[in-house]
This record gives sequence, C-alpha cells and structure tokens, in this order.
Amino acid sequence: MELRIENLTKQYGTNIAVNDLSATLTCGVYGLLGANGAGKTTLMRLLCDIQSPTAGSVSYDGMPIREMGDRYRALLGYLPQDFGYYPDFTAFRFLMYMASIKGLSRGFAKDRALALLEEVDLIRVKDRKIKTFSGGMKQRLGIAQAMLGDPRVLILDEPTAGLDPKERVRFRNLISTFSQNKIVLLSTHIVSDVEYIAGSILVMKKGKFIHEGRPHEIIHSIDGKVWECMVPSTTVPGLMERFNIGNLRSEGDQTLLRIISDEKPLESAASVVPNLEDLYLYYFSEETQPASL
Amino acid sequence: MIEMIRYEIYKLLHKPLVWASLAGILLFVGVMEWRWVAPGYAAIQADVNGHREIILDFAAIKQNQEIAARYAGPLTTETVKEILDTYLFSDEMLKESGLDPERQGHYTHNLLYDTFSQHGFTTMAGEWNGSTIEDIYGQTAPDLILGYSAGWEDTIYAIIYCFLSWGCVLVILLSPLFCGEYDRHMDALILTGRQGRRKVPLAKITAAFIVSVGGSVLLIAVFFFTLLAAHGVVGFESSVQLGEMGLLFNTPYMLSWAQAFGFTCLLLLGAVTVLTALLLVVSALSKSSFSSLVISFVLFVAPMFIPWHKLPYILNLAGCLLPINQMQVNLLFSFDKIYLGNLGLNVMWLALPAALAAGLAGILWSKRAFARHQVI
Repeated sequence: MELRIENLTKQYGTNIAVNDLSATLTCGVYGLLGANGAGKTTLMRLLCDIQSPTAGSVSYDGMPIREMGDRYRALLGYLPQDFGYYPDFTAFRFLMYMASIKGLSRGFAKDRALALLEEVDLIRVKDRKIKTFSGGMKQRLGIAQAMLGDPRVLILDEPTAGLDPKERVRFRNLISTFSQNKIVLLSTHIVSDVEYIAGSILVMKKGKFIHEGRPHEIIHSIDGKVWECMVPSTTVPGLMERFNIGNLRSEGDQTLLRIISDEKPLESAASVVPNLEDLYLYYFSEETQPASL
Repeated sequence: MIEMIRYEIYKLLHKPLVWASLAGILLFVGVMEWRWVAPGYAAIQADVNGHREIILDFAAIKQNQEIAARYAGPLTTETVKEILDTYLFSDEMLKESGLDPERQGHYTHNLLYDTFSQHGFTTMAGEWNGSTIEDIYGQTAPDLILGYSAGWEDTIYAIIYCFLSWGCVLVILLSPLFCGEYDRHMDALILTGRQGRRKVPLAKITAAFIVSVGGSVLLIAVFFFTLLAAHGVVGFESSVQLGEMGLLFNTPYMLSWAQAFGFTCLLLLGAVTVLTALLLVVSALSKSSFSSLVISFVLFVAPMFIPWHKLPYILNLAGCLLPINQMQVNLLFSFDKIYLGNLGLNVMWLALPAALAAGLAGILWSKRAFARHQVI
C-alpha cells in the first residue's frame, strides 16, 4: 500500500502553496511539520482530492486518486483544520450522519460510533448537542469521525489543537494502535506529538519538503548547531536579539540558555544533543508566529 | 439513501429562521383562508319589504349561490339586463340608507349584480347602460357560462398570494442548502466521504424537492378542501371571465373555473419546481449562505418589476414563465392559445416542459457544482 505524490503543485494566483512536491508514503505514521503558510493544509487537501492540483498527481497503489473517485474516498479518513459540525446534532447523531456519508451500514456504524466515542472519552456525553461541547471535546469528536470508516489512509490536520496534555496522550496512543497497516499523515505545531508517534517526519517550508526521514535522522542534520550556556540574567535580552534562542531557564541571577546557531555563539557555550524542537526552531526561526512546543 | 434524505430534511428545517418563516406563512395562510375562502367577505344587501337588509358570510354565500342558480347557463344580454333590473334598489330605499341614487345606485347588492356592474353594464345610478355581452366580453361572449364563481375566484386569489409568500419562504429555506455546508466547514468532511459527491447531493436535492413541492401540494390541498367545505363545487363549469373580481377577466377564450383551478395548480407547482431548481444552482455556486440568500431573493423577485408585456411575444412569454410571474397566474391566462394546425394549446401547458427542463438542469448543475467544489 502506497500513496505516491508526484511533482504536485498548487498555485493560487502568484502564490505557490505547494511547489513541485514528490514523495511516497507507505504504511506508518508521518508527521508533517511546518510553520503557518508552509503549505501543509493545502497538501493535505490535495491528498484528500478536495482541491485540484495545478500540476502533478497523487496516486494510491499506482492508480490516480482522481480516477479512483469513490473507491479512494472509501479508504480515506480526514480531519480538517477547521472541523465542521452541526451545532444541534448530538455527538452520536453526528457520527451516524458521517457514517451514512461514508456509506457504512447502519448496524456497523452504530457499533463503530459507540466504540469510537468510548475511545475518545465522549461516550458519557454522546446524547449532548455538539454546541455544548468544549473545543477539546469537538476536536475529539472530529478525530472519531475521521476514524469511523476504519480508513486505510488517515489524514489529520492539526488533530491535537485544543487538546489538553492528558487528551494528547490518549490521542497519541489511539493513533499508535490504529496505524497498523495504514498510512497516517498528521500535521501539527506541537512537535512533541510528532516526536512520540511519527515513524517519519516531513518538514515543509514554502511549499517544499526540506527534510524527510525518521526523527533521529533528520535531527542529525542539525548536529553541532545546538548549544547551551549559563549567562548572567541581565545579558539575556541582548542575546535574544542576536541569537535564535530555544529554551531559557532562570536560576537565581543566572539563566540557562539553549541557543540554535551554526557557529558557537559564546565562549562558554557547549554543544548539546539536538531534539525535534531545535530542528523546528532552526528551520522556522524567521517565521512570524512561533510554534507551540 | 432514505436515511440521508431524512438527515437533509432535518438539517433544512432545524433552524430558528426557518421555523419563524414557517410560522409566518402558516399565519398568513390562516388569515387568507379566513378572509377569502371560509367564510370570506361575502355580503349581500337585499330588499326585504322595502328595507335594505345586510346578510353576511355563510348566509350570504348561500343566498349568492341561490341567485346564481336561478340564472345559471349560457350568458345572454337579456340575462344581464334581467339581473340588473331585478336587483336594482329603489331610489327611496337608497335615500333611506343615506345613499345618492344618481351616484351610488350600483352599491353592493349581490354577487351577480356586482359582477355585471363592475364589468361595465351599469350607469352610476345602477341601471343597465345598454351594453351587450359582445361589447364587454368580445369574441368570447357567445361561449360564456354564468354561474356561482366567488368560491373559485377567491380561492385562486388567496392561493396566489400564499404562493408568493411561500416562494419567499423557500428562498430562505433552500438558499443555504449547499453553501451552508461551506459556511460550516462541513464541505471537507462531506466531499471526502464515499457517498459525498453522489448520494449526498442527490439526498439534498431530493429533500429540497420534497419540502418545496410537498409543501406546495399541501398548501393547495388545504385551500381546495376549505373551498369544498365552504362553497362546494358549485359553479365549477361557469366562465372565468364572469368572476366578480375580474382576476382572470382577460382570458381570451372560454375557460371554466374548474379548468382554471387545474391550470393554476399546474402553474404554481411548475413555478415552485423552477424556483427550487434555481435555488439549488445558486446555493451550490455561492460562496456563502448570505450571498446565496441575497442572489436568490433578487433572482426570484426582480422579474416582477420588468415590463415583459412591452417586449416581443416570445420574450414576454418566457418572462411570464419565470417563477414569480408564473405564480401570478393571470399573466399566462391572458395569452391566447398557441395553434398547431387546428389544435389550440393553452400556454399554461408550457409550464410543464419548462418545469421539467429547469428541474433537470438544476439537479445536474447543482450536483456537479457541489461535487467539484474546491474546499478553501
């Protein structure tokens, strides 16, 4: 089973959202990392065939997804970034409605909906209207609907947005269990989610993949570029203007800084082992909106 | 599929604005029923032992029917003259009631007297002015049949007004059918479902027609059964040109009220079908519910303000087949028949192919537009 992306391009006027992308996704969990405007959502919409590419194609097991049509959609689960719902539907009714759209039989849909509501911890509120749900509850319902048809290809656009730490852990475990023999692609700003569950990471910038590989492989690409040093707290503002600072931690009148830099930033700085957060900051430090880490 | 249609009907109707609109149209229907059909506004002023007596509502309807039964049959100038002579009030009685016989002699008497008075057979004093039925009704005069027409005419009048309101309700109801999903960001979920591009739009379209055509049939049925209960079928064979209000006065050929009622139903259901098709297309192509509502409302109402009668025949006819004009049935009734050799065809029949063509085009176009919608 493979999802092949070939020279995929999507252009809006003069803006190129996805720029000549090629990749092959096989079974496993893929984390899609990128700043706002990198083209992640557009790529996901192209993979779901809800936007037409300007050029290039996406094929599933050698067959273009446009030609597969309903057969491809039968294999697909999708959680969009802006999860839509009907405010007056109850959670259970909403899942049954989604099941009818996915062409599931009523009996199977009922069992599956109840099982998923249990999995996302919404079973006790299944008869409550969605408009009374918190943001996290709606997001969990969105995750449940995406998994409703037991899809072979699961595409999740920022699935952990709005989830608290406990819910994120539950989500990660759910995806890990679910992803056997399936292609799961998820985008997120929450780097730790990807770090835990993604077997492969695609780093996207300005419509292109700038890195792809296993987490530890792509982290190696910034070996020797992450530094830590203890500095007087009074010098921190000046250093923040000069360097790309990751974490900082105050310890009395001293501050421990984590600096991402190609060159050794300070005499006292020592090279440390990089992590995925450092990678994100290394590539997206110039982006206006910082990532949630 | 049935389950999907049920979901779509639920989604269509489960909105506060829709409930408010439906409550509004129900209230309007109730008022129109009460004001025009049962009991309606029937009133008779009769000469009882030299005094003017006023009879209202059901009693007046019954008496009007009795008077009409006396003169029922082919219309002649003599019949008109006899009716006008028989029911003309004396000068003394009018003076006793504070009316000027020279100016107000034609004041309300009964259905038939009023009909001929309003159609131009009387002087201001209420006496026959010498006009013949050929003078007033032209070439249709020899074919005209006199009878009790108020029930039919008032019912058709009330239905027309209710359908003009119903059309507005349909615009509110159906304009967000497809684009409401875009507003709610449900388009992405629907279009990635296996049935999202085939059965879902079909379910939406089916739900839309069930609501619009089903609601229309219900509306007509309510008025029809109220008509039967209040007036019966009496006068069904009489001519539409002899209606008191002159609603279908300009029909250039003999047509009975029963036939007119049938054609009215055809025109109204045809108009609703065309309107539904229009709303489907606008909804599928619009970016938002609001733009769809505004565009739909303008497209529905604007043709009413175009002087179609000043345009060439074909354009005039096409304009009169647009929903809001077709709902005002009298426009199409005023067209002469189309003759194919010796066979005369009422133009009202054109509503049937127009509705079928528009309905089919609306279904195909809206389904295609929704299936190809680009999620943004």
